[in-house]
Formats: sequence, C-alpha cells, structure tokens
Amino acid sequence: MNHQPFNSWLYEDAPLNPAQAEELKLHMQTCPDCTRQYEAWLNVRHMLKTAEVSRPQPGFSNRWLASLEARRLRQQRRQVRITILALAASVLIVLAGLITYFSLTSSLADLFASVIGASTQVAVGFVQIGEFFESLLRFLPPALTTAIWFIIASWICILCLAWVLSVWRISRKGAPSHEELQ
Amino acid sequence: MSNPEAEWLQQTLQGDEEAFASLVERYQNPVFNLCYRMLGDEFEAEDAAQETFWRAFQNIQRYDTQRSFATWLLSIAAHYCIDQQRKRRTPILAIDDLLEETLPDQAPDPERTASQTEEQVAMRKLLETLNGPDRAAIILRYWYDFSEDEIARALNLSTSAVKSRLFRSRQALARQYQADAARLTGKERKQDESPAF
Repeated sequence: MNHQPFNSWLYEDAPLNPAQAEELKLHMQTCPDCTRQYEAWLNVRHMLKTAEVSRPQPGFSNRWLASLEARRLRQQRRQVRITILALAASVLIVLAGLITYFSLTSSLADLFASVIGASTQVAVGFVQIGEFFESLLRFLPPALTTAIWFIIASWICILCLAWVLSVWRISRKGAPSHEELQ
Repeated sequence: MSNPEAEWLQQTLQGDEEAFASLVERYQNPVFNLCYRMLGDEFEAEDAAQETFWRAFQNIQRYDTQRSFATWLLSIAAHYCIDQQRKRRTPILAIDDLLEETLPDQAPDPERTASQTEEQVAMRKLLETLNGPDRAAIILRYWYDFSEDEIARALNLSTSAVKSRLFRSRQALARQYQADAARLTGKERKQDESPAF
C-alpha cells in the first residue's frame, strides 16, 4: 500500500485543508499501520504538551549570586594562563623562525662564528661601561659615591618588590578589570 | 517586554549584579526545565542552568534588545546542553534508578505521584532517542511554543532544516512510543500467564 503523502501529513503537524483531511480519513480507514502511527504521535504530542515544567531547588538565584565571584576568579585565571601561553608560543615561533632563517641563509660554521663574535662584543661593551663608571667614581667625592650606590640599591629593591607583588596579585586575583582600573 | 524586565536589563548593562539576579529569579524555571529535558538529570540541569545565566551575564552587551530576552536565554541554554551531550555519551539509566531519583520526599497522593513519575520516566526515555539538536527543537516547539522560525534562530539552523528535524523527530518519537507500548503489553501478558504453564 502506498502511504504517501498520508504518512508525511501525519508528522508535519500542520493544519490540513478539508480535502486533504477527508483523503487522510479515508486512507486511515483502510490502513491500520498509519492509524497506529497517528495514535502514537497524538499520544506523544499530548505527553509533550501536558508535561509539567521542572523546577530547580529553592534558592537558585542565591546560588547563582554566590557562584559569581568564584566564576569570575576562574575566568581571570584562565585569561592569565592564556596570555602566558600565547606569549610563550609567540617567543617559540619567533625563535623557530630565526633558527630556520639562519640555518637556510648561512652555514653552521658562519653561524657559530657570528654568535661567538657578537657575545665577545657584548662582553667587551660591558667591560668598557664598567671602566667608564669606575673612572667616573674616582673623580667624585666619597659621600656622593655612597649616595649614588644607596639610590641605585633602593631603586633595585623597590622594583624587585613591585615585581614580586604584581606576580603574586596576578596569580591570585587575575588581571584587574576595567572597573578596577577606572 | 514588561517594564521591570527592561529596567533590570538596563541596570545589568551598567554592571548591576543584583538586577541580573532578578532576571535569574524570573527565568530560572524555563531555563532549568529546558536543561532538565535536554540532559535528563537534575544535578546536571542545575549546573547547566547556572552556566547559562553566567554566559548570559558575561555576554549581556551582545544581547539585542529588539529580540526577546527569554528566547536569547533559551538559545544559550540549548546550545550549552547540545555541547554537553556531544561531550558525553549519556549512559541510559535503569528505570529503577530513575524512579528512585525522581521520587519526592513528601508524597501527599501516592497514586498521583506514581503516575506523574511514570510519565516523567516515559518522557525521558522518549527524548533520549533523539540527538541533541533534534531534542532541543522538539522541546522548544512543544514546551515553549516556539515557531519554526524562532527555533531556527535559537539553534542557528535554517527554517527548512528545523522543519525536517521536527518531522524526523516526531516520526522517531511515535515509533519509540509504539515500541514501548508493545513491550509493555508483552510484559503484562507474561505476568498474567499462569506459572504452571
């Protein structure tokens, strides 16, 4: 028996025009399979339409408010982790790019020689700067020299403290929000 | 949109958490119900509903005030639940477990409660036969009276895709219902038979 288009009409769940309704009725009188399907669908639809709305346990909005701070903290930590990972990945990509570039454009021996040359230049530069400051300090009065050392040491201490505090704050509380910055 | 809701939304846009909590209070039932029907577990539904409100709160700046807030919320909930279902392949719980889980502490009318519980179990079994998007489409259509266009917008599908999903789901639900009814009739017949035979 051909069940089309009657089978489609059963499940379209759209109103039929009178002619279609009559055709469907006639078909169902001779087709027990479509009749059973139709009855089954009507039962399911009734169940869906009359099923009760499930409700959460009392205090749902309070639980939501209570979880807000924890969620915010979790999100901030995730942001910090993502930022650190992104930075590490970019550094690795740049390094990989540089290594690839140098290995393609010059031989290993040249590369080694230029690295040694650059390191030597940096070391010589540091020594020269040291010598310059040493000769400068020789001409200054001892009180001024002590004061300069004291200022430099204080600044180094302050910067270290600020750095340690920032690392602690970011790892504990995450990056400050826009509201906190304003 | 009613006035207090517009006011709460406006205050939420300015960062007022308490105003958003009022919206949570207002929409907790429909959101929880959707999550419960999608996931079939009370605790998972609670988590999903909480997450839905958190996501809505985070993305409130993206909410288009021309659209219904309820539709927007339910759309977030449906997407989240579909993702959750994809992540885990839900083991179908035994009927006894379901009955135990859904039985309330206080039962003023045991007969009525039992029949309600049976209906709940039957409903869950039926919905479990559908995949995530199909289940969401059926729930939005029959619990929330969404039109096909609204479902399409909520689930990011085309209207024709929604139509075909609904058609397929109705067919699957009717077949499952027939199969369950046949199994039940078979069981009852077996129970009625005399053990002597």
